[in-house]
Amino acid sequence: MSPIDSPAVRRTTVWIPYLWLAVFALLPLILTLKISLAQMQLGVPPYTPLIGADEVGQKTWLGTLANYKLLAADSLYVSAYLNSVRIAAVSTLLALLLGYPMAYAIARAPQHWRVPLLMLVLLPFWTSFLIRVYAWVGLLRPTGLINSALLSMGFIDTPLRLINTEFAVYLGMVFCYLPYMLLPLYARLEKLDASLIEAALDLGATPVRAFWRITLPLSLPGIYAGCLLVFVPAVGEFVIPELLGGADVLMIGKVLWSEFFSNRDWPVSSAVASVLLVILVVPLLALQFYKTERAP
Amino acid sequence: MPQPATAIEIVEVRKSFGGVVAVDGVSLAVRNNEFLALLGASGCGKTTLLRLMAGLEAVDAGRIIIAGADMTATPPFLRPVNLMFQSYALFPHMSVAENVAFGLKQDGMAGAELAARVTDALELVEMASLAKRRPDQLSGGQKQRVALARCIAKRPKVLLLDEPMAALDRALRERTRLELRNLRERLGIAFVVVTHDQEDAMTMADRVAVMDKGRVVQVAPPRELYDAPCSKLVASFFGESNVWEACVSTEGQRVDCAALGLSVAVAASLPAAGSSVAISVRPERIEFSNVGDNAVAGVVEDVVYLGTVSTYLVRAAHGALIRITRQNGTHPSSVRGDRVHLSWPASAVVVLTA
Ligand SMILES: Nc1ncnc2c1ncn2[C@@H]1O[C@H](COP(=O)(O)OP(=O)(O)O)[C@@H](O)[C@H]1O
Ligand SMILES: [Mg+2]
Repeated sequence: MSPIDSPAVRRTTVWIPYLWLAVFALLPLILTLKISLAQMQLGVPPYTPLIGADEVGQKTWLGTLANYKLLAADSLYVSAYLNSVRIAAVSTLLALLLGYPMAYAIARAPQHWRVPLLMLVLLPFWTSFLIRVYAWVGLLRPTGLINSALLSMGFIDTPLRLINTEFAVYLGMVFCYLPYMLLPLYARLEKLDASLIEAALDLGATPVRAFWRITLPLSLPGIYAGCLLVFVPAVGEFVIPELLGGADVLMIGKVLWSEFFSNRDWPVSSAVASVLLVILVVPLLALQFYKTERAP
Repeated sequence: MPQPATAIEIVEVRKSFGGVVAVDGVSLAVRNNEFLALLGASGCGKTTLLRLMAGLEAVDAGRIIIAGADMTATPPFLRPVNLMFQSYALFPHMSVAENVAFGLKQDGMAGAELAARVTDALELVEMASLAKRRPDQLSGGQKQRVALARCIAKRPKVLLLDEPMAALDRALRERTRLELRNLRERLGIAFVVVTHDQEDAMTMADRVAVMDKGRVVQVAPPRELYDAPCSKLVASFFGESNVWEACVSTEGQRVDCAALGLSVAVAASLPAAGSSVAISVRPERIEFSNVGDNAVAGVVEDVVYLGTVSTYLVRAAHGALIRITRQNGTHPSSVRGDRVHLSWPASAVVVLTA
């Protein structure tokens, strides 16, 4: 046995991902939850401790759910959450409707075409996310490329309102998150045994029926994975609604940003983040449940 | 309406894939109610020919007539034939019963009629008890039965089977051959079975079409292919045969064979003197004896004991290796190194001109 696969090394290797998760996921999560139970104060750190001395010097619990009560009571937060979930859901649906045919076409293309086609889809992702969103600002703003082109061709007299709309947010979301939809769909569709479709045709199904009864059900795991990968980051998205949605499009990512950076209210922003996490964990658990249900 | 005599008629069909000719001008008629085997080495175009019949590939040229109707351009879902895939292609997200029901539902069948047809088909292949299982919970043999049930439930005019036995072990193979034969008789439809195994073809088929490099080289009942192969390829396909190059002699009914060092007496009709031919002699037609129409001497090089028979490999004086099969116990057995005399009658010599 070489030292590289000795039991000791193997045991340590197995622990690396857990260690990673503990340090970079669990610890920040606990800190966030802790801060969300505190109160804002001026100073360093800018929040009160959870355990402190009361008037008589006794150690006592100072934590409070006040921040969560605030979130529930203020319609700004509630509607920001609802808006975020709605915009993320619509963006996910649009990405699916656009991504599925693309993934299908690439998976059915001749073998030597597939990788180049995938590369084309991924090409924009070689530049930074922020720059890609700024590019859309340049295209959509009143003096931007689209409006000046339409104006100069005489199709419109006054610039269209493209930027600072929900439309612009959807555009940005679908554009930025499409690969996360496309890749799991492609992986699934590419693996799909073509002889299953042929068997369906042979048994009398038209190509359309064969798609609905064979291809679509067998690509469901790819659909779930793709939707999750788009929905989760889209709900908490800050850059796209900030740059393309303007003041009119309220999303929880923007609320979080202003609580933290403008109001410097660490406890409230921690509470906002914690509730967001719960919202995102629900679809994940639903998927997990679905998977265990389906397992034979 | 008078029933057409042929279930499928293939006329001068060609198919190539980007320069690779898979089917090269094949004409073939599948008769009603017959069990036809397509036999040939791997890559000779058997699967392609079957897929052309099913409509899963489009012909480059030629016509395909199914039950009297020209279906060259008919899509697969409108053809009255069904194909059992080599991989079985069972739908993994459906139960056994749902797999079988799939094709019937496409015809608009539902309710009690559908349930009855599914049960019938599953009973025919003895799989009714596993109707609720999913394909990944079945053994290879069980999957094959479900795939078969899924096809026959549709009551096609012709059932096409692509290497149905390829994934089965030997014992199951032999049982399945008999079952497929019986099934064909009960259903009263034509079966076209693709196989690369001559034993499959010999034991199941009424007629065998031997394919080579995209062409059908001979179509005949198994017995006829065995006794009167038209070419060396066909002869070599059906059992281990002795095949030697020879030249038609100027004396009547003889060919000169250099490898045997013999002028071989032949009963069959021969081409003109001087033509080169090949002659084939079945191992079981050769005897250990020095009297007969054709006799040579040689040394036993190897003996392979096979239970009821043994195979002897004898090196003739002029270099040819002669294969002989004899029943064990009918003669004093020879051992390696023995000098022996071999003979065979003129009627045992098959002349192959191609
Ligand atoms: N879809 C295809 N694309 C390219 N070549 C193919 C395709 N199908 C078959 N061929 C080629 O056609 C020839 C015959 O193949 P096939 O019909 O599968 O032979 P068999 O079933 O007798 O083994 C082979 O050379 C094979 O490589
Ligand atoms: Mg094949």
